[in-house]
Amino acid sequence: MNRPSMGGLSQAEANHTQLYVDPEIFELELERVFSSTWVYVGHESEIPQPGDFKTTFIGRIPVVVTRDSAHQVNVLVNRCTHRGSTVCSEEQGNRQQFVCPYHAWTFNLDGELAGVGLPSGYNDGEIDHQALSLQRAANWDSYRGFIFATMSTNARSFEEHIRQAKKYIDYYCDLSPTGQITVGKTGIYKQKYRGNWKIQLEGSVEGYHVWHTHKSAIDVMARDVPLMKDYPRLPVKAYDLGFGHNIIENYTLNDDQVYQRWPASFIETLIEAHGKERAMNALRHRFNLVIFPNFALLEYHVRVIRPVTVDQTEVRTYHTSLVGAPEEMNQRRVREHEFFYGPAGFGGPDDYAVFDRIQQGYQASSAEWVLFNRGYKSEQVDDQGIRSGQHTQETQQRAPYYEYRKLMSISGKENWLADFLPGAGESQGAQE
Amino acid sequence: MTQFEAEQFLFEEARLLDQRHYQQWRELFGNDGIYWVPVNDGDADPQINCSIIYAQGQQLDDRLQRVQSGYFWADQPPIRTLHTVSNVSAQTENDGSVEVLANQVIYLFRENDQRRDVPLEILPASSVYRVVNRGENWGIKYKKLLFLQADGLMPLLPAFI
Repeated sequence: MNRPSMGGLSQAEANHTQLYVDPEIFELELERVFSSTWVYVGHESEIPQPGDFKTTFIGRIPVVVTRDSAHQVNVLVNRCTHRGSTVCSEEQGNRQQFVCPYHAWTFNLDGELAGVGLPSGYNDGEIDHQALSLQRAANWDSYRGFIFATMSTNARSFEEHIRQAKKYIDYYCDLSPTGQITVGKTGIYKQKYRGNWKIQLEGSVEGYHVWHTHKSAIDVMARDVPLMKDYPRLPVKAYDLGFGHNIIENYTLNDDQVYQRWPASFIETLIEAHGKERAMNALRHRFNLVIFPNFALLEYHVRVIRPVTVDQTEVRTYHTSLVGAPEEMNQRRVREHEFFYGPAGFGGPDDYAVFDRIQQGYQASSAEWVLFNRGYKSEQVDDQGIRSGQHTQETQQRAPYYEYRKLMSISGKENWLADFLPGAGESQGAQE
Repeated sequence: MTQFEAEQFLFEEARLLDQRHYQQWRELFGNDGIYWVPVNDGDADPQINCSIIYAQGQQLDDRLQRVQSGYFWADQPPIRTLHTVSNVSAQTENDGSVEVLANQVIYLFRENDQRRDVPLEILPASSVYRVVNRGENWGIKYKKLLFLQADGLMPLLPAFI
């Protein structure tokens, strides 16, 4: 077989396996995806007080997210501007300043260089305090507490970037009577799998595998929610929200079903807090939302995908809690989350076992394509350009790659796939 | 319960796990025994915070069923374990139950894996047991297993550990 050039590696209906195994492509992704677009770095509930900080990564770049004395959020590169040591060694904490362990260069919570060790050794003009502040992300912004940052001054506006995802984030947060949630305060699972980061990106909205991979979980869940047995036949959909973002609906309840699902007292509380429409939307909609490239919001948690190497990925599962919700509701959210997720849950470990095996399978360089063509021919496109399909089809897996191809400067036009999937690309073409 | 009996009890419990005699192991817990494996922080309240496992009664039975289901992909091929139990101390309480503390080093290995380079996982943990007399035999009212790396990266685990 021909070795496809970069131009044909990602098609609307399939990716070339090389995108998942080639270390050079991985390096390009760090630069063209993770250092170019908006990346999720944390939630404001993780750093509520001045001096609070958390460390995370934008791609491979270590960053520290702080709240300074003016209550402002800062996203700083965790690298001393002198000789390069990280200035913060912990995952989270509270601190007034960051002191480099090497030469005592000291930085304020907003990144400003406050002082250096043995300053008299510097002559006039050798040190410019202002220029030697910690490097900052080019921009950061947040929506309902979810903080995103970008290293690029060329990224589209955050408002535009997040627009189509906002209503889902609203549904999620409005399930809390206060509209506030906490992220990770009630538990974080920290796991890694031996596979490419895009496998989890695709796997966060995977409606096709549920009935099979998760049969042992569904058998238990169906005791309380008989509907789960019929998961593949539920009348729900998945959507490509543009810019690589996508969602899969888990269920969408009508008013009667809302009253069957939730205690009447809780419904009343929410209506009182938010008004009827907002409250019912929050109670009605359950979904998995992916915000490209590293963030997913699921019923009980925020998922953060961190690319480590081309074949190693860290995934953190931050449990969410509803501020002001009845204790028994939050407790149920704890039990149901830990039932499925974590290193000994009934569902999550099987996904990672499968992801691991996918990467093993990708070693077969003789087999070139990773397919996403399920439901391509019946995909709907509405007047706003939103693509949708049935939830067990693959609209949501195709979604990230429209953005991916743009960022990676991969043209989808060279149709190497045509030999493999007859008729590939004919129905809609690669709508770039 | 003497020191010797406490040690023998933990050794036997470890043997049941390592030999995957899960049904017998599960019976140690009766209907009320709590099996707790915390995540992040061993002092966190498991009613407010998630755990790696927080199970009793039916939830333990569900885990048994999962092992036997043929759909426990993370356990294919099966994860073998070896427990080394040490630093045992036992203290009998006024109600006749016994609090047993022990350290454990648990080794995990997936034998017969197609990948051929599965790493041996080593999981040191501290443990607290509340051991009670269940008629003829001692049983477990409460087991808390706190991994040293509970707040770090965790490998995939067998159904019971």
